[in-house]
Amino acid sequence: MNDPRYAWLVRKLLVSGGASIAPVPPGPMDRARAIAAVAQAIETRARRRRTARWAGGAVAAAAAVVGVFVGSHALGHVVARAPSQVASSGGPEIVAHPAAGGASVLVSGAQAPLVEGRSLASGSRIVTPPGGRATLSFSTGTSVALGEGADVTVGGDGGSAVLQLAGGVVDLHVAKLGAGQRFVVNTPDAEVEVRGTQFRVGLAAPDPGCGGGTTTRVTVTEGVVVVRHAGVESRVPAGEGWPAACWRTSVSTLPPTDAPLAMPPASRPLAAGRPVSALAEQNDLFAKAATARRRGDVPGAVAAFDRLLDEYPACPLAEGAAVERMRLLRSTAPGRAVTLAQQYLVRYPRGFARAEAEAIVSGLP
Amino acid sequence: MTSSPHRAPKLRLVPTDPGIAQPSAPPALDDSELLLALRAGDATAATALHDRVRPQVDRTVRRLLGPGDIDREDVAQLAMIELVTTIDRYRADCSLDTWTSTIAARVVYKHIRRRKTERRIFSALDADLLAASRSTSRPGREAALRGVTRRVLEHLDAMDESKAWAFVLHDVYGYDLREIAEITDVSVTAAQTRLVRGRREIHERIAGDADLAQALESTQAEP
Repeated sequence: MNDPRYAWLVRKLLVSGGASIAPVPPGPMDRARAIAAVAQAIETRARRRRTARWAGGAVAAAAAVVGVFVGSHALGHVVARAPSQVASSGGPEIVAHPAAGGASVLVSGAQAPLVEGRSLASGSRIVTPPGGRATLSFSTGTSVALGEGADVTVGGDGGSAVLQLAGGVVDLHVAKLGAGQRFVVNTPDAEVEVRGTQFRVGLAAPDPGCGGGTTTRVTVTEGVVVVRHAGVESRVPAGEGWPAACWRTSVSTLPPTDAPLAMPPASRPLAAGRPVSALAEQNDLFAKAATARRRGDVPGAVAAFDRLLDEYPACPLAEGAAVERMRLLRSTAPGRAVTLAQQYLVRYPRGFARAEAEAIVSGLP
Repeated sequence: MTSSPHRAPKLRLVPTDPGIAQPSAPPALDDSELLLALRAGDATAATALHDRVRPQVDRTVRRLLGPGDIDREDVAQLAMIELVTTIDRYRADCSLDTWTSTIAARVVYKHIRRRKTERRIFSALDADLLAASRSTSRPGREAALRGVTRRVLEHLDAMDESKAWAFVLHDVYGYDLREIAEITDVSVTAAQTRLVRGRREIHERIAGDADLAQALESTQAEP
């Protein structure tokens, strides 16, 4: 049988059946859930790759880290706040991941063990026992690691995320905020708002000579943080802290158990006390190149990619930058494109643009 | 905010400080930027990725699983997660839409094979035809067409599953052999073999069903 005629007729019948029926777009909740799942998958994938790179001795890219420390002394004068006061609906999706020692979640007064993958509504209060830990993943890409004895109530309102910290130790990796988005950490006596991506907040014993007796300490290592205390708003840039007179000493007095929970290694050393976020610089350079390319400014785009690759040859964006630069030069400077394609093939023998590089080297269109 | 540590702080809206540069809205990412962000582990690209691929995922899931399937949303979500985890296999030798469709089809394929409670693996085709027939101005002809389709689908359901899938994915849904290999997790050669044998089997089945063969011929002969 060389001509399966009925198979052809079946094909014709089924293809004409109803191919033009459009799917219904997902609702807002489904969309938010799906985005949260995608963000989590990206983070998980990135974490696995980082782990693999570390195992191989490579240097991982730095991530934004926020550390919040609440000394146990602060618990004595914490005024519990009802969930409704710190949160309302419409905030980012939050998923919990309990770690060693476990944690509990309290919703509307009811306490239950925190289970892996639990979605947390605004107003949920997470408490870790001594020795317990947990991580919260936000749909925005932010993650929050709770140390032992932590007491955190999560909330949000539209594009804002609000954490009410009543005790324990919390590390936060805050994703870049878009327009209209806010990330706020409330401690018992201060409000800390993220305007950048990397900083540390700690609480220490009240000292009348330090910031009027506040227990809050802030150290900013990247970007800008705004601290509001006693009706005064202070803008704290990178490399500085709050209160100005005593933030350095407070950090050094923290007990060892209050060390950051999940501090990723920085990809570049800190210079002269001023921390440098290599990842932010890499992203900026790549964005600059992409913007120039969109404008049609090929020399500008190539120059930005050149700089990125010269300064960060081993960064996560290096392969992509190398490919984009190669593509840009293919039409404008074929000779250099061939050289770069050869270099790409040597450096990334199984790279995603291998076929393209081979075509450039071979002079194929 | 108060100077007393005993008084609970209140969160309030803070007017924008004109001295502080506000972050501007992130520019829309094109596909290459999106993929770079994804490969770099930038979770802030999740929304852009979702919005970029979701329509294609929904189209594929709806087409293969049917419009009323209760698992549609879960499968769509799984497909997007699968897209993230398999992104290293994407070599940019096809469009992102094509790759998305292939990965989504792969997730649906696995889902249907895992689903033991329903033998009808091609119920989506039946649902499509039902929806189409409701919008026609020729109900008599569409009823006949529907009857023929039902019987054809019964034959497909009775076939070896792998051959039936190869036939439907290639001849009905338009996936090429390489995509079918990716979807069904076999080699391209195996996909081709299944397709050829699937075509042959459906032909022989209908050839052996005289009434259906005649109905199919007459249905196709009508304008």
